[in-house]
Amino acid sequence: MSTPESRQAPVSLAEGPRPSPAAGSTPLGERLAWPLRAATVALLVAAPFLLGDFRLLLLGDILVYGLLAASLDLLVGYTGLPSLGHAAFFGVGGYVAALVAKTTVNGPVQLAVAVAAAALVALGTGWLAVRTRGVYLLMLTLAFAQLLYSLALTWTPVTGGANGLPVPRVSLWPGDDGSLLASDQALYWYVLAGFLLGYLVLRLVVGSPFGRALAGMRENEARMRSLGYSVVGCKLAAFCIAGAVGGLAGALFVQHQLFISPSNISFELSAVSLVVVVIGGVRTLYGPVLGAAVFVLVREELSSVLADHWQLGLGALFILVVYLLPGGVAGLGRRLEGWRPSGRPATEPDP
Amino acid sequence: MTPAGAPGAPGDGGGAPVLELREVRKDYGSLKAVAGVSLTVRAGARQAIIGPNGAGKSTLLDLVSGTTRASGGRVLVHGADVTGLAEHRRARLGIAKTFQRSNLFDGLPAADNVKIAVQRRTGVARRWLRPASNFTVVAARAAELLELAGLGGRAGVEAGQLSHGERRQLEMAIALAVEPALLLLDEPTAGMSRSESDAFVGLLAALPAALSVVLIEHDLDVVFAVAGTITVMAAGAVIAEGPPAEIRASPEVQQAYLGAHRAADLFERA
Repeated sequence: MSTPESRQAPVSLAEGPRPSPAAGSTPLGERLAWPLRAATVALLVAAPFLLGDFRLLLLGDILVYGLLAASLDLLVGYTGLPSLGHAAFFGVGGYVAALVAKTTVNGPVQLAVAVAAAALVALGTGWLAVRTRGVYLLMLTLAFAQLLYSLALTWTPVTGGANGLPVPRVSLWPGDDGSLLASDQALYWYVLAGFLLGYLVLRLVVGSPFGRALAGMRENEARMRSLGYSVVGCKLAAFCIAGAVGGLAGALFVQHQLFISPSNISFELSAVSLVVVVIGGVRTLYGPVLGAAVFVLVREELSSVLADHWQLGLGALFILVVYLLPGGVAGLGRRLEGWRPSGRPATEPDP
Repeated sequence: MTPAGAPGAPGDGGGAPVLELREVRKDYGSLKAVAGVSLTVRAGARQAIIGPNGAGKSTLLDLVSGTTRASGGRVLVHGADVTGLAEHRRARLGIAKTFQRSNLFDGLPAADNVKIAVQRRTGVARRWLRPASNFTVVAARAAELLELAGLGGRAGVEAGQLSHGERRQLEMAIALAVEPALLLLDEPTAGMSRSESDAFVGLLAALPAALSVVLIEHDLDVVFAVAGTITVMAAGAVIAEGPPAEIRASPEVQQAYLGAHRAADLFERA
């Protein structure tokens, strides 16, 4: 992703310090970052007043898949761990939330248990996965996700098999009889709150010292080791955080759709998540959310025109993006601002 | 920048042993890369390892840092056996290393390269929900180290965009950022111009006296300028060790070099 064209000529040690090209006026994107963030959140909060029921439902879907894709971006983009099995954590979160729903309709409790379960599963699979790399890592994550998928499909007494699990609407707290989240608008706000929480955690992680260590892992694992970092430990932590947020997305999905079945957590979801990260813009967090929006909207529009062949359209779009928009949708925005062309994680603007 | 030898006139350090190698071996199949080397590095030492290519010098440093595991023998750091210890755990005992070919975080700005090392040392690397910019100590220390290494104005430049000499300087800044007790330098001046090497010698001379430095170096100007003790390796074994004057006069050493080099090449500038 680096740009070799501006390689500097060798300079002597004796030469005095030179001004860094980054110094000087703040880039437009940075100045606009906070207003943009505020405006985006305001729009998301106001969405129920601006959109019809159906479109609001779609927006909820976008938030759920966007959160999943953003959590995958933490692994793929920031840590450099490609995964073809991110649907697994979505599935664990979703199914655990659905199972907890049989005991309590309290939404936050369902979320908490689901997130904990997803993090735990991520710890177990990550323990194995982070010791491999490249193709082996892809295979391992894929295999694990397929394992969970078939478990969901065949463990009928618990998961409902291919029929899936319907769940009741969630309530907000113990005293709530369910009336608080009874309307689709209220449920949307609930999903939005969950999305913002998960997104905030990811944003904090990538901007933290630990996030900087993850960038180090991505850039040069061997050097990290020689500096005293435990490579396995760092990657495992990243795996757990990504898994936990992926699980949160899955739980929100169930609470939003009131249903989960194996087809919701199939290989297609893992693959689409990865595609969405690329379409949106790797290593930006908000890019994958934009990518999820593209995905959900394209699916909606194309499936009415092309019926079951709508994925042809998505495939074509994917190819176009890879060729025409390196850096994805987020990269397009950045280029319009005259931003540096390659990713610089810590300082991206962000909705 | 004065060429070294001046402050703290380093001998063998004279302090307690920081690193002890006892009959350390590394075999690659039938090839004995390191064939039973014993070596003691004391606190404050400036020890140079020289020898022809393929003598096993880099492998020896890798055995110390834990990048490769020894096939036999023992490695002791501060008297504790670390032979079986993983690389990152040895690093935490205070071993830092620079690499023969610059080994940096190419996609990250020079400042972040150093911050990654500083934050490990200061123990904030595990903080995962607070903005990195809150830890001003890390940034300040990184800026200080960049300045020290002569990269003060280059903090924002991606490591991959730096010149060869600057990359060597950044290597040093990163290694020093972990505040090591033992600094291993694998051909630190490789590919540097004369003036860059001179500046490097000045930087070495300015290091804290308590820090032990082991360097592999082909540039004998640099070796004789900084080393208190010189270890000569050939074919995986130590063939001579002693103060520079002694090594320079040793017929054995010249003999070892004669296979690959002429003695004139070896001591031409020394």
